[in-house]
Amino acid sequence: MIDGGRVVGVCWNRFCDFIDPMRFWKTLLRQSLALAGLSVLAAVLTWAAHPRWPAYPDGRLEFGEIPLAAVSQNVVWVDARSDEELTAGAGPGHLLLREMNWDEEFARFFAEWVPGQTVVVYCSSRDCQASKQIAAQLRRAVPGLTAYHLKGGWEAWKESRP
Amino acid sequence: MGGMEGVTAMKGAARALLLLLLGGIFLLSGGLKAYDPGRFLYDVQAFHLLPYGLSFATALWLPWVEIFCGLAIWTGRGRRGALFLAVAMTIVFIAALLLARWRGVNLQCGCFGQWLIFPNLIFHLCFNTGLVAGAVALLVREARPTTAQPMIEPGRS
Repeated sequence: MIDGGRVVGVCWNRFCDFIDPMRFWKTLLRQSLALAGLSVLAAVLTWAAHPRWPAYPDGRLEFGEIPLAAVSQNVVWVDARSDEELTAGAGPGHLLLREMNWDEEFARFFAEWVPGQTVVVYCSSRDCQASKQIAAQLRRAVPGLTAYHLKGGWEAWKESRP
Repeated sequence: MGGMEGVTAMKGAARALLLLLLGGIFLLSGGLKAYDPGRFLYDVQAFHLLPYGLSFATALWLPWVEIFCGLAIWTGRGRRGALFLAVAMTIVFIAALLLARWRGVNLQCGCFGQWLIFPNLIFHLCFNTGLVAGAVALLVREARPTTAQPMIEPGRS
């Protein structure tokens, strides 16, 4: 028995394909734009109301910089602060690596570092340059090593500890 | 006829499984990013391919595109557009990964937060190429004309 509704549907599709061979692509484009537009609305809501969304300039990162929130568990921490700054305390198991004692401290670092481990370097404050320089020097000294400098430095690390 | 029906049923099951997997992957990936968009902003910046303003906009917008694509793939409403966006996004992502690596940036994509970390670039590229292949296969199936349906109900003519 012929299903009248289905025949009409199939004929309608054939007719549409005949008069408009671009129908598939037009549908595809229309749907893509609709999904992208809907996402814009949701993004605006996220911007306005999401509790984990940073204010505009706060999330900016320099080249090679990493925020504490993005640091994974299995990293080697490197402390690039001077001896005077170290009196403020030090992280457990963190390795010292400073420009002035590079040869001696690099040998110690290299003995401890396991190939493949990411290295995160910090110095005393948000504005210090030592961590940036040490991370760059490490990348040059050990090809393939991934080294970042910590956003916010020692202060950020310390504030995150209970 | 039984053989043909078996093949058709298997094709249908494979398609359903592919839709389930692809939609699920995009929903999970988008959901994890939308849960912590601040973290995803750092992941986008780690590629060092976009200026900060564009990274900011991308980190806000991209998770929702993935979520809506995943939902559309699952529900069937807007599936063609969703599959097209899925292919386009994944190809752009593969290009970004290769470009970042070429520029010496070693990174994690942040695709699945801390839940899934790809061990190396090759594995990562294979996973994404598989996603593109799956989405293209489904899109091709969607593009087929709808005239293959039987007009006569079997056994009643």
